[in-house]
Amino acid sequence: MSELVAQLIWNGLVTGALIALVALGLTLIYGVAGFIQFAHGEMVALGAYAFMIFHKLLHWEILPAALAAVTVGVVVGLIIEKLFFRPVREHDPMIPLVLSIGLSIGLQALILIFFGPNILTISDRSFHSLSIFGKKILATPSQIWAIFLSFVLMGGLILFLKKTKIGKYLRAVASNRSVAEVFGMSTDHAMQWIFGIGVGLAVIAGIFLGFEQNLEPLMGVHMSVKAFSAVVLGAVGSVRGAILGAFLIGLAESLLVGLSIIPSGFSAAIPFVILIGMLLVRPEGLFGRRFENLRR
Amino acid sequence: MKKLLIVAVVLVLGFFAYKNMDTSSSKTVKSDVIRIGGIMPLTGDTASIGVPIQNAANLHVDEINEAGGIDGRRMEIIWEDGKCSPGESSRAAQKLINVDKVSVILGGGCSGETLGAAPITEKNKVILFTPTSSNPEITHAGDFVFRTSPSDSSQGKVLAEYANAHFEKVGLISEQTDYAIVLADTFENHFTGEIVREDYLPSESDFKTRITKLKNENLDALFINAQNPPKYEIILKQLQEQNWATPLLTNEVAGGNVESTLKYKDFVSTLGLVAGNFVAPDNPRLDAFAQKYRERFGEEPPYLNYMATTVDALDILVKTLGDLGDNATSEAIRDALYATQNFDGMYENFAFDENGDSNITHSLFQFDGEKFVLLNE
Repeated sequence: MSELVAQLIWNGLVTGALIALVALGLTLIYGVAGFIQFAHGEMVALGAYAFMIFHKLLHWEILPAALAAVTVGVVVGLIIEKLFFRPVREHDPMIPLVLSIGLSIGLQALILIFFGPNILTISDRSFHSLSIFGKKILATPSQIWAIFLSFVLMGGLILFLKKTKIGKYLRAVASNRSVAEVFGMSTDHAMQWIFGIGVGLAVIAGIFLGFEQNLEPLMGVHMSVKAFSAVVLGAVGSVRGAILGAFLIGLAESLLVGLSIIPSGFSAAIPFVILIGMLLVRPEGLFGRRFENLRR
Repeated sequence: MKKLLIVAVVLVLGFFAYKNMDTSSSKTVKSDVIRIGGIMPLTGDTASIGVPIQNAANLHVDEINEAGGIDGRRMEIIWEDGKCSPGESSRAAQKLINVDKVSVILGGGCSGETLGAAPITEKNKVILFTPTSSNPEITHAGDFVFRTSPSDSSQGKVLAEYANAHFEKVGLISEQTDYAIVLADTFENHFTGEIVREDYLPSESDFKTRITKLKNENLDALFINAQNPPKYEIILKQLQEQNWATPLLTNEVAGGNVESTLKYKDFVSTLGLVAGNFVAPDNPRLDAFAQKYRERFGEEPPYLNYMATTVDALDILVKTLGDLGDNATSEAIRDALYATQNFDGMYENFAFDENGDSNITHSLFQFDGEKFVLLNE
């Protein structure tokens, strides 16, 4: 029994770590730019497909291929920000939101055109699972890397936002754009940073997701639904909240289904049930300030 | 940058205009063309089945037209994407009936598509002719509904009989679609041992938790009941990652697509994988068609048996429409289809029963490390 629980917790942590990487980008973009980027899930798919091209088709080693995929992702993120979101940034937040929905559908269609509807594998190599923690848990090398790297990246991001000059400047723009501009901070610049970081994290999640579940054109959509729930659960715009929300959803899915607490057919509803419950009990999210004090 | 964008937009618009022109120009020669509708899953995971079937149908329509068409009139299929969803499929059927005014629809591909479109086609007295759907409920879906594919009531039964002979406790991991649910239910009804069943939604692709749970149940075998090869492959991959070597059962979706199983050959070949499926006809006509498919599309034709049922469906339609000529009303086509006996298609002696069902049944196939071979028990 204990082995079952240990394995379920591990599965939940892997899922949670991947959701967290995607949720961080969503929450950062919301925090600084002020809208929910619905095409963020497609960045996950972009990362996975870009990695597949470098690694499987061009036969690059894993690390250079991953770095190349992240570079492609960051560049695409910067282009998307400049081409699509910068022109509408000063408008009602509804406009970039609707734009991002359109972008999401367009990017899915592009993946379908170039790669077709079939499932693709991310690597020709197969990796043997390892027994870890006193042989209680079976884990693939990519899962161990996913958990390790996501913790490093999450810690790094929090430190980056807290300690570095650019981090402080991003937080300044997030908390009050007009005042920050008065002090000579460029909003354009902040947006570029946020989209670069956000898409970079989503690409990394996409690569790991590709190792976990293979590649399909809609892989980003399923992920972004969970990431979106994690963001709302934690408090929209909060970095710690997104991370905690992501792990809560990952673990809840794994444990509730794995221990037969709820029938497995309802597993996809878990993020939403948590989300609805949270909105009823504490609508501002785990780390949110009370709405009355919140002024944008 | 702006110029580039404008060029891109013009190119995209031009592409769509070109595509539209293609159909609008053929509309001007309407009297020489017999149009039928087509509904298949053309996007999403199940497009991995729908697109090859669409390719096969288009290829065969070209063959028909080269051979003189239907009494000198060209045949043409107007395709709609049913997305393997009853809702999308009923919208597609509405469009084909109201806008394109077709009186025959080839499809749907997924059972859900056929069941979703059937109420619409039935009300409008349009023939719904599926070459691939196997849900048993389609038998009673309507008077105008026909199929060349076999019903799953036989597939669930043969799989359960095999399981009864070999296993006492079987795990079942099953997708929640019209095809997979009914297959799982039929299997459950006929299996005498104990079943641990785990369902998942078509949108899910993480099965680690379900596999961990099932692995802990001390099962004799696992029945993978996915709607499409992509999901089947992910389940195999995650089974392998959890080092769980258990005898496997699966359905025709997986068993008809050797490519998917071959990707996990080393893992699967020791497990005695058994799939329910129906036999592809062994004849030179199918061989020649498969060769044409390879040449045109540059890939091995998956699902040779479904290719055959698709070709036969089209040939039966061509013969029926040709025989009826100008009298091809929906009722006349329906009556002629019911009267079809001993049709000499790829499946010899093809016939419909009183419900418009085909006379093909399922058998069992075992994976021998290279391909699926008929299992004689």
